[in-house]
Amino acid sequence: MRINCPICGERDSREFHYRGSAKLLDRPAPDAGAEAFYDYVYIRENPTGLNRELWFHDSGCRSWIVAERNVTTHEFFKTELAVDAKRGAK
Amino acid sequence: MVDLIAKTPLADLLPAAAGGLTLTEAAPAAITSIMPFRGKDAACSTALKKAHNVELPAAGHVAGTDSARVVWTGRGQFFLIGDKPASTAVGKIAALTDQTHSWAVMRLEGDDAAAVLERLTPVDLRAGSFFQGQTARTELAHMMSVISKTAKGFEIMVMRSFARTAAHHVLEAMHSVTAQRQIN
Amino acid sequence: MSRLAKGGQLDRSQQIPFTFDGQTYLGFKGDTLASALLANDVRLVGRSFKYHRPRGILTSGSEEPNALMQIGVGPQTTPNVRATTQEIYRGLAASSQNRFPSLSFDLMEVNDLLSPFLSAGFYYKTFMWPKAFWEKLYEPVIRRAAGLGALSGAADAAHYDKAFAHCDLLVIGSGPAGLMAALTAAKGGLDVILADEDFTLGGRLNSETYEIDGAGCSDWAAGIVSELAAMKNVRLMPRTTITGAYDGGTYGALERVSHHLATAPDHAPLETFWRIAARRAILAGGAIERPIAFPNNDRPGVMMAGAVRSYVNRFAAAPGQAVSIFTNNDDGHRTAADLVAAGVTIAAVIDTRAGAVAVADYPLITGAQVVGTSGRLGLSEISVRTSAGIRKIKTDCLGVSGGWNPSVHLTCHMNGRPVWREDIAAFIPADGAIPGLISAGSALGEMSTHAALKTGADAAAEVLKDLGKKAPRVTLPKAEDAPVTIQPFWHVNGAKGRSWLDMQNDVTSKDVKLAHQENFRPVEHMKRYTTLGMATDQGKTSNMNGLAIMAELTGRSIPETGTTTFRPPYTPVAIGALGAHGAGKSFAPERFIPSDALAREKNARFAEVGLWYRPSWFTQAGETNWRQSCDREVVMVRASVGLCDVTTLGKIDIQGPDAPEFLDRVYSNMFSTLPIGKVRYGLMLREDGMVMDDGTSARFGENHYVMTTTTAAAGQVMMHLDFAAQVLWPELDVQFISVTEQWAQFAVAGPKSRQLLDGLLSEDITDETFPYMACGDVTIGKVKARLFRISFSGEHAYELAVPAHYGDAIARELDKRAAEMGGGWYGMEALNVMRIEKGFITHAEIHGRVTADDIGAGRMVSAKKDCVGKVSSQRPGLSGPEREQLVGLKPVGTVKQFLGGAHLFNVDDDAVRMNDQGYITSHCFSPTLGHTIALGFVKNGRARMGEVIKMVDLLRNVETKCEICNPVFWDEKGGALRG
Repeated sequence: MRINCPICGERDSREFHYRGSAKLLDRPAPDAGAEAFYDYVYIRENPTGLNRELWFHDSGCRSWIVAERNVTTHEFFKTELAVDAKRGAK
Repeated sequence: MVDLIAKTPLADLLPAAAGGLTLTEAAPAAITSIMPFRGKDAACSTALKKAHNVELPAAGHVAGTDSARVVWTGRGQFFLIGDKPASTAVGKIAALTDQTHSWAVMRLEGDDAAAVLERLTPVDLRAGSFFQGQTARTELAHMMSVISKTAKGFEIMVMRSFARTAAHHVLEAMHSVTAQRQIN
Repeated sequence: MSRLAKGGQLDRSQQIPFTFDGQTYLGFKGDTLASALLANDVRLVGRSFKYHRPRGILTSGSEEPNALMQIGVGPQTTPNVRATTQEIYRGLAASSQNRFPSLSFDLMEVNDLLSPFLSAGFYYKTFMWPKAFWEKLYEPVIRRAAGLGALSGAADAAHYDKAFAHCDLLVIGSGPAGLMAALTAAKGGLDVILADEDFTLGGRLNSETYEIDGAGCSDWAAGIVSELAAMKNVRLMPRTTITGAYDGGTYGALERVSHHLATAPDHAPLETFWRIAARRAILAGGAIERPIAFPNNDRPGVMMAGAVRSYVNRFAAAPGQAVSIFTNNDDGHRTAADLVAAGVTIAAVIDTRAGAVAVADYPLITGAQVVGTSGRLGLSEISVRTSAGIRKIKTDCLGVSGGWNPSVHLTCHMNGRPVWREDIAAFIPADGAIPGLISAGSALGEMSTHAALKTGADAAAEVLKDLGKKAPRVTLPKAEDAPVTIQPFWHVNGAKGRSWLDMQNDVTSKDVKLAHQENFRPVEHMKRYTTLGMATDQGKTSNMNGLAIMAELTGRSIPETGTTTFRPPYTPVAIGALGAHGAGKSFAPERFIPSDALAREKNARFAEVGLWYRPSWFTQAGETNWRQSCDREVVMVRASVGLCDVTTLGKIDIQGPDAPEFLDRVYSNMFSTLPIGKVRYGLMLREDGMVMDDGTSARFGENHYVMTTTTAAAGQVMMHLDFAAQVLWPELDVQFISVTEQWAQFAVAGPKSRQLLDGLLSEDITDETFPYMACGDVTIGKVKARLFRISFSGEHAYELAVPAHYGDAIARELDKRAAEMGGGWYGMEALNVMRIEKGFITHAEIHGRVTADDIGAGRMVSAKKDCVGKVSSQRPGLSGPEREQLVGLKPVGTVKQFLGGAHLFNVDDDAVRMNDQGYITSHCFSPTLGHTIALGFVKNGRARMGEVIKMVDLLRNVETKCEICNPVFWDEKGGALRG
C-alpha cells in the first residue's frame, strides 16, 4: 500500500502507523461531561467504503495525517495534515 | 581535572569497503536541531543566513555547504550540521537542541550506492527522482534514518544506539551488491 | 540420445555434467534440467502425490505440475524445484521425490490399486472415528504417504536478500507484447522495469521458428533485449517472477540470483525478494497451454504440445522418436510442422475437428480422439477413437493441445474475476482488476504475434499518455497474424480409465463428477472437495478443464459456472526469501548503551528491553547464579554506591511559549508551577483514563523542559506528544525532539553517591545547592553535563547525563571512582529489587488496565486543569473500593515463594475465578529485608492492610499465605532519598 504524505510525497505504508477514525480530531471541551468523552473514546462508525482516518508518518516526517480511504478497495482519495484539517474545520 | 575523551559511534567499525563502494563515518563537529516557533520560519531563515550564511531549505531538501548545512529532518524540524552549533540568536525564535551526539553519520560512496540502499530502504532513491540536495526521512532496515544525496553517494544518519546494526546492514548490502556484479 | 544435431539456443561448447538420482548426465549451457533430462532420454522423473503414479515432464515452464525435484545434497537442499525452470550447472545434483525405495519401483504404488477407495472426500468420510486414531494413526500414515519434497529439518543457511524498486512502468513478461511495450515506453522516456521468470528474455519467441521483420523471432527478441539493455531508463530483470499484485501499484517479485550457479560468489544471495512500486504495469505474461483430459493421460511421455515444440526449437531435445499430437486447434499443427522441419518423426496428428487440414507433411486423423495410453513407466502406444473404430498407434511422446489460457493470475490477486471470451474459449483479465495495470498480448487473449506486438505497443502508448508523456514513433514489426481456430474440447467421454486433471494433487475427471453428485457444485466448493487446483501450481494446467467438466454436468455455460481464481504468489516463494534480512540477529535492530563495551568487560549478562541490550547483572568471581550477583549489587548500592546506565529511558526536549501549558495537558499533574531547576514526577493518562506512562520532567528554563519516559514506552509517548500537538491542540506553540541518544545518562545511587561526584564535577554539590529533585547544568573538565537528583532505588541518588560521545569515558571514570569506595555497577535485576522495595511502579503495574486511583495516585489528577484522560478517569467504576488497588505483599506461612501473574484469594475461599481478589505483578527476594516481597493488586486493597490472603498458582502448583501491606517496604518516610 502506498500513502501520499502531504509533506514527503508517496511512501510505502510500512512507514506509517494507523490510528483509526479521524473522529479523534474532535476532542470534546473539558467541561463537555463524561457522556461526551465516552462517545469520543469508544463510539465508532464502521462504514464499508469511504472512511476518514488518522495515520501517523512515524518513520518519516512525523506528521499526523487525515486520510480518506475506501476500506473495501484500499484506495486513498485524499490526504491532508491533521493540523490543516483542524484549521479548515474551524 | 578529568579529561573525558570523546568517541564517535562508528569509530571502531568504519571505514570499510566492498568492491567500488566505501562506507565512512562523517562525525560532524556539531549538529543542532532547529524547530522554529509558530510563524517564525522566515525570521529563522533570516537569522540563520546572518549567523551561518545558510537558509532553511524546503521540506525534503538540504541547503548550504559541508561546513554549515541545514538538513530538513521532519515536519517543522531542521538540523544545522557543520563546524559550529547554531547561534543563540537563532534560539530566540526557534527551539534549539544539541543533537551532535545523538546521531551516527555515515557516508556511502560509489557507483552502486543506490543499489545498496535499495536493499535497505523503501524510499525511491533513483537517480532520476532523488537528486543532490535532496533528503528523506525514512526507515533503513527498520531503523529511523535521514538519507541525503551527496555528490558521490549518500549521507546516512541513524540514532547513535543503532549505529552498529545500521553499519552491519549497510556493509552486508555492500557485499551483496558487489557479489552480484560478478554474476551473469 | 535425443539431442538434435543442430539448432536450439544452447552453447554446445560448454558441456555440463549433472546428476539425477545419482546417475551422471551431460547437458549444455542453456539447458534446463528438464530439457537436459529429455535430451538424455529420461522420461520418468517423479511419482505422484497421492497414488504414486509414475510421472514425466508435462510442460516447459513454471506451470509444471509433475517434474518437481529436490536440488542439492545434505541439509541445504531445496525441495519442489520445477525441473522445467531450473538451469543446469556443473555438479547440479537433482533427485526425484515422493518415491520409495526408488523411482522405478515404488512400494506406495499400491495406493494406485486402492484408488477406488481414495477418491475425493475419502479422508473426510473415512478417518472420522475413533477420534484418538486421527492424531496417532491416520495422520502420521497419511503424512508419510502423501506429500511433495521433504525438508531436511536443518536451518536454512542460505543468504536471502530483499530490495525495493521503483519505476514508472513495470512490464511483466518479455515475449512479443512485453518487449514491444518496454521498448515503446522506454523510448517515450519512462523508467521501465522488464521482468521475466525465464533466464533468457524473449518469452515464447525463444521457442518459435517464425519470422519477425524477416529475422528469426528469437534473433529479433535478442536484438530488442540488447537495445533495451543499453538504455539508462530500463532495468532488465531476468530470472524474476512477479509473484503478486498488491494495493497501490506494489508488486512482489522473486529474483533467483544464484540458483543457476555451481558456486556463487561470497555474499551473493540465493534469492532476492523485491517489492516494486510501479506507477503503471503492463501484464504481458503470455498464455499457458491447457490439456485435454483422456484416460491415462498422465503417463510419462504425454506432454503439452507447445512444450514439445519448445524442447525441439529452443533446446534441440526431441522428447520422443515417434511423436504424436492430440489437438483441438491449429496450434497443435504448428508443433507438428516444427517437428517435421526439425527432422523429428510424427507418428500421427489426431485432431478432434472433422475439418482439420495438415499444414506440413505428417499423417493426420481428423474427427478423432485419444482414448487411452499404454506403456509401463512411459508411453509406448496410444488408442485413437475414429469413426472407423479404435486404432492403436505406436508412439513414445504425445503432445496435447486443448488451446491456450491467458495468464490472468496476477489480475485475480486483488479479487478480480476474469471474463470469458467465447471466440478463444478462454478467460481473459477483467478491465481494471488491478488499478494501474493493463494487459497485452496473449495474456489479453490476443494470440497472434502481430496482435501481441501491437497490443504491447498500444498498451505502452496508453500508459505514456496517462502519465502525460508523448508516445514515440515506433514502427510495428511485421509478423504472422493467424487467427485462433479452436473447437473447445475438454475431455474425452465414454472411454474406460481415469482421466487426470490436476496431476500435482492427483485429481481426475471422476472426482469432479463425484463432487457434482454430492452437490459440491459451486466451483469454490468443488475445488475444496476435490483439491483441484490447490497444489503448489495452483492448477495452472487443470482448473479450466475441471470448470468445463462441472459446466457440462450442470448444463450451464462455463462463465455461468464460475471463474478460475488465483492468489499470490504466482509460483511458490521460499519463506527464507520473504523473511530476508530477518533471520537470527537481524530479526530486529539492536540498540547498544553508551557503556556497552565496559559492561561486557565486566561480565554483564544482558537482557533485551525493547530493542536495547541492558545489563541484567554483572557476574563476579565465585558467583554461580544470578541471584548471588543481584543480591550483592543491592547490598552494595544500599551500603555504598552503585552505577547504572539509564540512557535507555526516553528523554524528550520540550520548548516553546506554550510548553508549560502543553505539559499540563499531557500530564495529569501540574508542571506549569514547577520551579526552574526542579524535577517533578508525572503521570500520563490515556484518553480512556488508564495510566499510560510515568516519569519525571525537569524544568531548565521558563519555556524549556526535559521529559523522561520509561524505556518501554519511549516511542509511544513521543507519538502521543505528536498526537497531542498536532491532532488535539495544534494552536499550542510547542516544539519537541528526542534527546534520548544525545545524553549518556548514569544513575549514581547510594549513601556514597555524592562523595563519588565530589571532585568529578566542577560544581560543589550539597543538600542546599542540590536538594532532592533538583536539576541543573554541571561541568566535568571541559564537558558540559546535566545533573538530576532523582532516585529509582530509594537511595540518595543522582542521574548524571553527559553528551553521548563521552559516554564510554565517563562510564570508566565513574567505575574507577566507585571501585575506590566499594561500589560498582548494578543491573536490571538489582534495579528491580530496589524499586520493589520502595514500591515504585513499572509497566508490570501500569499494564494498561489501571487508573491513577488504583495505584494510589488519584490525587495526582489535578482538579485545577484539563488533561488527557481526566474526564474518563472520573467515570463511575474507575476508582474506589470495588477496584483492585496496588498493595505490598509479604509471606507469613511456611511457603515464601511469590510468582508473577499468580492470583490472590481469601484464605477460606476456593481458588476459582469467582473468588478472585487480585494478582501479583512484581516480586523478588529483598536482601535488605531478608525475605521475599511482592507488589500486586487486591480488591479494595488499601483498606485491607494487615489482612492475610493466599496466593495460588494452579499452573505451577504453589500456594503462599501472605499479608497485605504498604507497597513501600523500605524507608517509608524517604529519609535516605533526602538525606
